[in-house]
Amino acid sequence: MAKHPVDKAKGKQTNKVLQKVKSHRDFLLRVCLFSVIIVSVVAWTDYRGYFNPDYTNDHTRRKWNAYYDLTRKAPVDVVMIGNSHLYTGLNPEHLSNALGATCFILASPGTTMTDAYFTLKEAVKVKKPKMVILETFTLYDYESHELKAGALSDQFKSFAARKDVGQKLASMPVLFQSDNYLPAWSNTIRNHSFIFTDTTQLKQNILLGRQKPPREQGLYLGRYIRFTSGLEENTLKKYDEPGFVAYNYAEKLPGDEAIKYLRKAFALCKKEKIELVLLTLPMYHRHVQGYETYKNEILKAIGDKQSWLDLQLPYDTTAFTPESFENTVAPNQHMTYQGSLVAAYKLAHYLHKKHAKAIPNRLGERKWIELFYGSDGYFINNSPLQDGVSKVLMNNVSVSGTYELKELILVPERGAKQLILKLVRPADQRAVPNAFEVLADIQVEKQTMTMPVKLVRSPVHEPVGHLLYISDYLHPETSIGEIKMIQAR
Amino acid sequence: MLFNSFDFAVFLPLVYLLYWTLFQKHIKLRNLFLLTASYVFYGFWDWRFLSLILISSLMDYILAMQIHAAKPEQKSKRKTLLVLSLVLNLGFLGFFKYYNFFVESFIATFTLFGKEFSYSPMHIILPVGISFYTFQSLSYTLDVYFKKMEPTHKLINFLAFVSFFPQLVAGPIERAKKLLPQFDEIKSFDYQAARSGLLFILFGLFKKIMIADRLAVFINQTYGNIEDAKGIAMLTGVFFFAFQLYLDFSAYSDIAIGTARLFGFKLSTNFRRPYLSSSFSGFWKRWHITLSSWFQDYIYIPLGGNRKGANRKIVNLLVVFFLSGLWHGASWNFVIWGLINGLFLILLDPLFKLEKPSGGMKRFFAALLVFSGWTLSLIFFRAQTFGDAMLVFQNIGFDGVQALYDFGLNSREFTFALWLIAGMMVYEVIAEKWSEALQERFYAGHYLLRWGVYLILTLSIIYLGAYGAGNDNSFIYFQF
Repeated sequence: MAKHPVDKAKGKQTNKVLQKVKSHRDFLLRVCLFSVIIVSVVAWTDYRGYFNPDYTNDHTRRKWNAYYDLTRKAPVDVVMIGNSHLYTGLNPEHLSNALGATCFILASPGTTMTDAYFTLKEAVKVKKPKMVILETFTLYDYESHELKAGALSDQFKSFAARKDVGQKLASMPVLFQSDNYLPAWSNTIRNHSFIFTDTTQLKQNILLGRQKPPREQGLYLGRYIRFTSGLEENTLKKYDEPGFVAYNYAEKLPGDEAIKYLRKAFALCKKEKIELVLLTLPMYHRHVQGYETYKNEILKAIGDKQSWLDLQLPYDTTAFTPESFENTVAPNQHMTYQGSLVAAYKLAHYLHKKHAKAIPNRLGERKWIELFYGSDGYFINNSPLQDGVSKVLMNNVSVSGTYELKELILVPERGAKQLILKLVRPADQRAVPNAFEVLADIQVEKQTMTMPVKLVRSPVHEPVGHLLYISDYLHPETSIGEIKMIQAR
Repeated sequence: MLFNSFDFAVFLPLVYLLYWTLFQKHIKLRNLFLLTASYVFYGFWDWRFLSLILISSLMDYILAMQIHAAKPEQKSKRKTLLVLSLVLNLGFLGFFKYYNFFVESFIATFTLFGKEFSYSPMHIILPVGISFYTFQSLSYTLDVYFKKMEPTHKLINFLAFVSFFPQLVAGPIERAKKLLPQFDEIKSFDYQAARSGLLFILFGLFKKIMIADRLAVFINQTYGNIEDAKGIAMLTGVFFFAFQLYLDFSAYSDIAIGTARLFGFKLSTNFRRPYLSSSFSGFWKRWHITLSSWFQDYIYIPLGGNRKGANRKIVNLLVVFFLSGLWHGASWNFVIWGLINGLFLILLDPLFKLEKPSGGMKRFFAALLVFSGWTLSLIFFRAQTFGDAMLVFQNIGFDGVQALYDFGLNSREFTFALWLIAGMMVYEVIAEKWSEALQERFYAGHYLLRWGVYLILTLSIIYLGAYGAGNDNSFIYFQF
C-alpha cells in the first residue's frame, strides 16, 4: 500500500533526527533502563510476596525458618536430612527426648540426594551439628537437570526455602538447567500462573501485603503428621494378588549423580568432623521387592563400614505392624504417626548403642528441658514428678474405677498454662471417650472458684499405651487446688 | 539453543556487545566471530552435528567454485558437479530424516504383495535444522550452476552464511544472492534497525509465549487423547492448531529477523498475514514464503511451471506439494497434507474464482473458505498417524461444551486464549491495510506511547505467559 505523503514526510524527518541524535550508546542506555524497570517490577512483586504459595503447606520453608530460629537459641545436635519419608516417618520430639539431645528434621518433600547435599551444606554452615542422619530414600536414579513436573516443583521449593544466597548461587547450576534459574529465584516467575489457576491465593497475598511468615509457636523440630491410620484389611488384600508389586527397589537403583552427592556428603561430614549415619525408614515389608539388590548397589559404592540403621532389611515384623504404614499400595508409601514413634525409638536405641559418645546428653540442662515442655514424647522420657516446673495434681489413681490415671498435671505452655491428663490405654477394645471434664478449685488473680475444665483427646500426641487429654490454654497465673471430680464426657 | 530460553537471553547480549565493540571494524574477524557464535549456538543443542554443517558447507563451497571454473562447453562436468552436490546434500538429509521412513514404506509395499521382511528401525537422531540449512546451502550451488550468481572465494563468509545463527535452525531460508553479500558489507550501527529488531523479537516472544504456547496446552491434550476429545473439544483443538502453528512459526521468523537486524543484517519476510488470504494460491505467497519460493524457483519452474499447458501445470503443482509435504516430515501424513493443499489450489481456486474475489463480503467468505480448508488439512499435519487423523475427523462436532475445560485450560485461561486470538486477528486486519503508516506513526509518536507498548508486551509475557515447568516451549518447526 502506498504511503500517505504526510506519513512519508514525517518518517523522513524522524529518520534524519534519529540518525543525528541516537547513537549506539543511547540505544544501550535505553535497553539497560528498560531492563532495570522490568527487573524492578518483578522484584517488587517478589518482595511483596504476591505469588507466594500458601505458607502453611510450604513445609520446607517452615523447616528452614524454624531451623534458623532454633539454632539462635539452642544447639541442634542431630540434623536429619531426607524427604517426606523422613519428616512423616520419624518423630524428632520423641527422638530428642529419648537421646537427651536436640534432633531436627530438615527434609523437603521429593528431594534428591543432590538437593539433600546442598541442604546439608547450608545446615552445617548455619550451625555445625554433632551428627548428621541421612535417610536413603533420596538415593535413586535421577538427573537433577532432567527433573520434571512434581519433582522439579519440589526442588524449586527446597531451593527457594534455603536462605544462604552464596550457597544457593553455587548450587544453582548443579540443581537446575539454565531455563529454570529464574523460576528458582523468583516466586513471581515460578508461580505467575496463579493469575489463572489460583486467584484465591493471589488475592489473599495481595490483601495481606508483605507479611513475615508466622513463626512456630511451640517447639517445632520439622515433623509433619500426615497419616494417623494404618493399612486396612482391604488394602492388605491387594498384596495377595498374584504378581502385585507396589514398589520395586531393583528398578530404582541409585544413579551416578545420587552416589556422587552421597560421597560428597560423606566428605563434607568428614571434613567438618561430624558423624554421619545412614537411615532407611521402612515401607511395609510386603510393599517392596528387590531391596537387597538396591542395598548392595549402595554398599558397593560406599563400602560396608558406614554406620547404617536399616529398618527395611532386616525388617522387624513385630515392631512395624500394618498400623505403622499409610493405607495405600501406591509406590510412595509413608509411615503413620504410630510408625514414626517406633522408628524414633529404634533409632534412639541404635544411636545409644553405636554412637553414644558423639551425642551430648542434655537431660540435666534446665534450658534444654524447657524447650520440651508440653511437647510430644516428653512424658515418656521425662517424669513431670522431677522436672520442677510441671505441677502434678494427681498421679496413679483410678478414675471412676474405669480408667487408670497416670498423671494429671498443670504445665506452662506457650506463655499460658495447660491441664494435661494422661491415662493408661485400656487393654480391652472398648471405645475411649473423646473428652474428660475436670471439676476443680481454680485460682486466677487471687480469685478462687470451683469450675469445670474440658480436656479433649489428642491422639497425635499420645505416647504408646496411653491416652492423652489436653485443655485449652489457661491464664498464665492459673493455679489449681483440690480436684473435685473427673468424668468422661 | 531456543530463542525463548535463558541461554539465548545471555548469549544474544553477549554476542551483540562483542560484535559491536570488538569486531565491528574488521570484516574478516567479524565474520569469523559470527561463524563461531553460530557454531556455539548450534553446539548447544548437540555439538557432534556441527561436523555435518561444516562438511555440507565445505562441499558446496568447493563444488560451486568448480562449477563456476568449468568452461561453458564442459556441460557434462558442470552437471556432474551439480548432481554431486545434490546427491551429497540430499544424501545427508535423506539418511538422517528419511532412512527409516523409506525402508518402512518399502517393506510395507512388499508386505501388500505377501512378502514379509523383518526390520528394526535404526535409532537416528534428526539434526536440528537440517532441512533448512541443506536447502539454503543447496540454493547456492544451484544459483551458481544456473549462473544467477558467482561463487564466493571467502570461505569464512560462506560458512557464516550457511550457519548464520538467527536463521540456522528454522529459517527464513535465505538465498545466497541476498544474504551472502551482506557478509561483505561494512556494518555501522543503525539505531532504527536495532530498535525495530528488538520490537520484532519482543513481538515474536509475545506471539510464542502468550498465545502459541497457551494453545499448545489444549492441543497437546486433545491430540494426545483423541479417544476422549469429542465434539467441540476436538473441533477447538483443530481450530487452535491452525493458530498455534502460524503464531509459533511466524514468531520464530520474527525473532530471527529481529536478531539479524541487531547485527545489521536483513532477512526475508517469511509470513505476510496468511489467514487473510482469499485464495489458496495467495495463501502460499503469504505462508512460509522463503520455502514456497524455493520450491517455485528450483522445482516448479525448472519442471516447466505453467508454461507447458494446463495438465502439466497440475502435475508440476502436485509434485511441488508432494515434495513440500515430504520436506516437512518423514511421514505419509505430511505427504497427504501437502497433496490436499495442492488439490485445494488446483480445484478450489478456479471453482470459486478465489483468485479475484470482488467486494468485501466475497473476500471475507473466500478467506473463510481458505482458512477452513487449510485448518482441516492440518489434521494430517498434527496427528501422529493416518488412523489418528481419521479419528479426529470422526470426533469433530459441536456437542460436549461442558468438557471443554477438561483439556489443560480452565475456563479463565481458555477465554483468555480466545481473546488473544481475536486480538491477533484484529491486529492482522489493521496491519493488512495500514501496516507501514502504523509503523511510521508508532516510531514518530510520543516516546511514552512506545515505552508503554514495550512495557505492556514484556510484562504481559512475564505475568500472563504460558511458560514454566510442564509447558512445552519448543518451536514446532524445530522438528523439521
